Amino acid sequence: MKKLMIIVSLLLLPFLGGCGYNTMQSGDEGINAAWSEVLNQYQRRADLIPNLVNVVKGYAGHEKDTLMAVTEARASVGSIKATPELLNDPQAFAKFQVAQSGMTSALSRLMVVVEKYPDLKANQNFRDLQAQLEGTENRIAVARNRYIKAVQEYNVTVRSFPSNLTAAIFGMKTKPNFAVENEKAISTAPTVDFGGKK
Amino acid sequence: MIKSLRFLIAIIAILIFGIASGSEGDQQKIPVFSAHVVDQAGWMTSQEVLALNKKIINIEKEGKVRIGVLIISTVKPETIEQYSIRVAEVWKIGQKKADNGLLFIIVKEDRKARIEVGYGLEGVIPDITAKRILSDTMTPELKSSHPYNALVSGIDSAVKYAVDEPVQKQKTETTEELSIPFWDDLVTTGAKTFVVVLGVIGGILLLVGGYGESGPIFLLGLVIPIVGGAIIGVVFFTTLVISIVMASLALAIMIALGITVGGGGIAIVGGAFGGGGGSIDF
Repeated sequence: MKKLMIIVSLLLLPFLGGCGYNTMQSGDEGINAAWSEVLNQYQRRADLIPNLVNVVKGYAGHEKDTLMAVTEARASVGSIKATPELLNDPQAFAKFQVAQSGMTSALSRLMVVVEKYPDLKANQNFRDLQAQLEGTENRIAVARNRYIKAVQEYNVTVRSFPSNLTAAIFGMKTKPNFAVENEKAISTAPTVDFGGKK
Repeated sequence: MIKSLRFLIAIIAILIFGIASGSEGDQQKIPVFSAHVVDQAGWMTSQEVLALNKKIINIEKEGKVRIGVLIISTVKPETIEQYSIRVAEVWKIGQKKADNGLLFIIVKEDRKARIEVGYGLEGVIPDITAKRILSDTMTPELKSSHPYNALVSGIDSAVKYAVDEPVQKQKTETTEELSIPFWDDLVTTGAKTFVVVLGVIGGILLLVGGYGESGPIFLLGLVIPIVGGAIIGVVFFTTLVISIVMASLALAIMIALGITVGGGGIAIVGGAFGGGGGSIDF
C-alpha cells in the first residue's frame, strides 16, 4: 500500500506544474519580448516618415494639409516614451494606442491622396518607400498579433482556477491588450477631409 | 483500485488543466509541408514540380537559404499577408538559429503573390528587394500563366541576394530538424506537461520491454501513451484527441530512439519569420 502511495505521489508530481507559477513567469517574459517587437516595428515606421514626406512634397506640394497631418502624427507618436513600462500603466498604454492609430490613419489618407499623382507613383524612390511602408505595416500587424496571443494566454492563466490563486499570492495581474486586432481596419478613410482642424 | 485511481487523476487533471481555446473560423487550411514545392492549385505540371524541387534541394546544399514554395487557389477570407505568415509559422522553413527561410506563395485565383522572408534574411533581402523580385522578375511570367518560369527566376534572384552576404550558418550541423505540426495544437502547457509525462513513461517502458525482451512491458509502453493521451483528449479537447495521442506516441518513440541511437538532437523547431517580405498583384 505504501509503495502504491509513493508511486501515486510521484506520478502526481508533474501536476504541481498546474499551479501555474512557472507558466506565468515564462508568459510574462514572452509578453515583454512580444511588446519589444511591437515597439521596434512602430519605431521603424516612424523612421520612414521623414523620407516619405520629402518625396511626396516634391510632387504633391499642394497637399499641405495631408502632409502636415502625417508630420504631426509622427510628432505625437514621438512624444510618448515607448518603453516596456507602458504595459504596467493602462492610461499610458491607451494614449500610446491612440497616437499610433492616428499615425496609421494619417498614412492611409496620404496614400489615398497620392493616387492623384501618377508621376509620384512612378517615382522609384517613392515606390521603394511604399514597399518599405507596406512591409513595416505588415510587421506591425504580425507583432501586434503575437503580442495579443501572448497576452491572451497569460491572462487566461491569471484568471483560471487554480492558477488565479497563485497569481493573487504573487500579485500578478492581467496585462493590457490592444483594442483592435488590425489597426488598418478602423483607419481606412476613403474620402479625404480637409475641413476643420482637430 | 486502478479504476478509481484513474478517475482520481482525471478529476485532478480537470481541476488543473484549462480548456483549450481558439477556433479557426473558415480560414483556408494550411497544406502539409510534404515537399519543398507544394502545388495545391495544380498550376504546374508534375515535371515542373519535380524540377523545381530538385533545384531547391541543390540550392539548399549550399547552406545559405532554405526555400518553400506554395501554390494555392485562394486564401479568402484572409489577405495573402495574413495567410502567408500562418503558413510560415507552421512550415518553419529555415534553420533554427539562422532563420534563413524563404517562402514563395502564389495564389492562383486571387492573382496575388508574396515572398515571406525569414528574420535571418531580412538584411540581405529587405522589403524593397522582395518587392522588386516579385514585380520585376516574377510578375510578367505570372501574368502570362507561367508560374514555373516565374518561380525559377524569382528563386534565382533571391538566392543571388542571399549569397552576396554570408548568412550565419547554424553551429551544430548534426542537429536534425523535425517539425511535429500537431505539437502546436496542444495550446495549453498543461496538456504539454501531460504529454511529456506519458511520453517519458511510455519511452522508458518501451526501452525496458525491448531490452528485457518482455512483451507485456513493451506493449505497456505503447498502451500508456495511447490510452493516457486518449483519456485526456476525450475529457477536454474533443478535436485534439488524435493530436495528443500522436504526440505522446511520437515522443515515446523519439525518446526510445534518441537514447538507443545515442545522441544528436532532435529539434522540433525551425526558422522564424517576422512578417518581412513583399506582395504583388498580377
